[in-house]
Amino acid sequence: MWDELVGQQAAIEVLGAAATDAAMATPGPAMTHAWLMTGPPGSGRSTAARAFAAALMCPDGGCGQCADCRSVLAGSHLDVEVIRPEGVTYKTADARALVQRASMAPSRGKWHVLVLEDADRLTETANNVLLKAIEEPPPRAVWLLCTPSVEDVLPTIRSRCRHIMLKTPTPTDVADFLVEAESVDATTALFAAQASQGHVGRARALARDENARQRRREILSIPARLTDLRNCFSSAEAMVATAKEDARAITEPLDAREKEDLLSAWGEGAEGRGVKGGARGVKGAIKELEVRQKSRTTRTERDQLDRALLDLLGFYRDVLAHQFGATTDGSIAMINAEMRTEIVRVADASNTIETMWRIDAIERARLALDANVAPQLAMEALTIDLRRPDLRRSAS
Amino acid sequence: MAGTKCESLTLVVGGEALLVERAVDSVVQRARKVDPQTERRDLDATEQGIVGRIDEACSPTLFGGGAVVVIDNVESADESVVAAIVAAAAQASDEVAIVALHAGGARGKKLLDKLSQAAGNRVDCVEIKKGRGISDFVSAEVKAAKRSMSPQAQSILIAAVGSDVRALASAVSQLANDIESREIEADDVSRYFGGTVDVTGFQIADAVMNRHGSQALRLLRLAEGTDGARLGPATVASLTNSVRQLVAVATAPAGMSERDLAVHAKVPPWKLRTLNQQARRWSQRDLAYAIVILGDLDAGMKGGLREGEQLEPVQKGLALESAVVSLASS
Repeated sequence: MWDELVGQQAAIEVLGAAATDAAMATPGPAMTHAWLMTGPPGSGRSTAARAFAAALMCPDGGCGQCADCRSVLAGSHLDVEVIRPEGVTYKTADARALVQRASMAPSRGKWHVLVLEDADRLTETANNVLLKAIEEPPPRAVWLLCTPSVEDVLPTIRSRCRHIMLKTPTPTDVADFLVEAESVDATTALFAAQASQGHVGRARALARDENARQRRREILSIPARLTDLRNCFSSAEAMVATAKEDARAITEPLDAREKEDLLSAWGEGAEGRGVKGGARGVKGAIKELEVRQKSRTTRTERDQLDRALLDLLGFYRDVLAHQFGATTDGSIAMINAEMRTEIVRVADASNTIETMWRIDAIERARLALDANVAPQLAMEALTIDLRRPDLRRSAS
Repeated sequence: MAGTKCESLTLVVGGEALLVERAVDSVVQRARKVDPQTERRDLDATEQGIVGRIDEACSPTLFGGGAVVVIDNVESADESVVAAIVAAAAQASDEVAIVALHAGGARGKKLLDKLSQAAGNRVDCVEIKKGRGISDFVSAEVKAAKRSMSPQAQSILIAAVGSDVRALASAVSQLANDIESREIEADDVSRYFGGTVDVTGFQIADAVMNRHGSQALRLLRLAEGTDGARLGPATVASLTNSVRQLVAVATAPAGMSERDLAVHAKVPPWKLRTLNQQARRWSQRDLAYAIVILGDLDAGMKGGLREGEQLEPVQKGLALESAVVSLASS
């Protein structure tokens, strides 16, 4: 069950000990009621949280086989709630509802586990609402907060949690895991492990899905394509269009299913007295659902674009490494070894300062997306910055 | 009598009230030139007993003297009324002129056809459309006043007065009365109509694309006086759009047909001429730099890239102004 947690031996030991102590009649000191799981994206924060939750539910401390373990991992266990913000942020109302549910006693097991994925998306007020519940926890509640870094939650919350720090798994760790779990060949596994820079989920997608590899190739071919203004604009447009399309592929099935569920909950198609009157509120409910779905689509689009930006960042990281001579003397391996020719070409045609400027531009574009700048404008500014990194600096 | 045209019958078609009024007035003026005593009689084609009243109004009076009979709402009248108008026109003496007002459009189409067969004069007063129609109207007004006005002055005037035809007409006539020089300048217009403005982000963008930095700033300031907060995002969006269109035109492959170019730039074909003119004022480097500025500006309007970069409303206004000026003059 802990297998999915790639290269996190230290964390596994701490969590395993906690699960053992938790199972005792009077829980031992290794167990506590609030945990903060931090680590770079894809290092397995939510996987760790889920595995830990399963270990708490399982009579054998996490066998991975019993009904409890299996239902936790499938996300259907009654006493384990996994909360993931579908919109851009967690709203205060979401946090309130969560605090209320936390005070309910567990129905089957000993603990009521609440997993907050992406707790960095908590707004400040939502943070404060949670603080109270974490400070004075209901007796059976266990909070598992997942964020990229400890700075992402309020210091007051941080100080009440035990901290589990996940590290970036090494390419070898990831590749070994891929060979084992996905039964892909060693070459593909190593490529995916390198290219994903320690993001296990991304490595999986790259190892498994030709479409994902194709998207990546498209993104990485952008630097070479930015030869004139027109190409800058068309590349930006293509990036946004691809992100939209990919986001739609993810959200549209969800949207349709949720709407169907909602309609049947409101008794659509049912006949008889009283039913019609009851169905009157359905319009409002649908509208509310659509607002939430739209927010989710926006977020998914942004996430898709951000991933493309990360790929680009990796490209220029390789360029920089090559310019420093680190890839020729073998001290640093290229993330994008398969793009070596292009990387060398870009590296030879520019200097390290320009590369740093380009890396800056990518970071700026990521921040811009986060700040809700119109995606296409942000990508246009990025492609222009990439083509002429000096433009912003030379203009008076 | 069918098929013959009666000079005494004038048909005014269309819904633009100001133009209709002018058409009627011109008939009355013409008649009064011949006979200053000419009387104007207004009738409504939908009122009761109208047929009799038409007869009455069109027949010569005991004491002589001419008349202009104006019949409104012909589009909603009975056929018998139209027949009465045609008959009255055929029999009318030289001293009587009849003006029939028809709103145009689909309503009373048959009546319109009948009347236009009989009418000796027809004046069309088609409603003036927003945008191009308005600026053409202003040009025509200026020309009628025997003056000239720069496009820049025109756009300020339209921005200030809005798209109400009557208001524009009176604004032009006021300017023509008060300003002695033949050419009415942008400064004259803003002196007279400065305070009251209905500025859109689009107009600001247009001024920037024409490289009229001072005009863009003036529009922006005028707008800030009324509702600057609303205008920030709209201006960024309009500017971005305009830059994209210019880029599309400026980087289009040589020899592309107008139609393809319009599709490529995502603009209606009539906009190409303006775009081509504007494109001459922008180098590719300027356009690239414009996008960089706009990206930063959009982030500024939306709370900044990093923590602590959030701008106060006043600072947002200043950021917008400085971006507009540096874009227009870069």
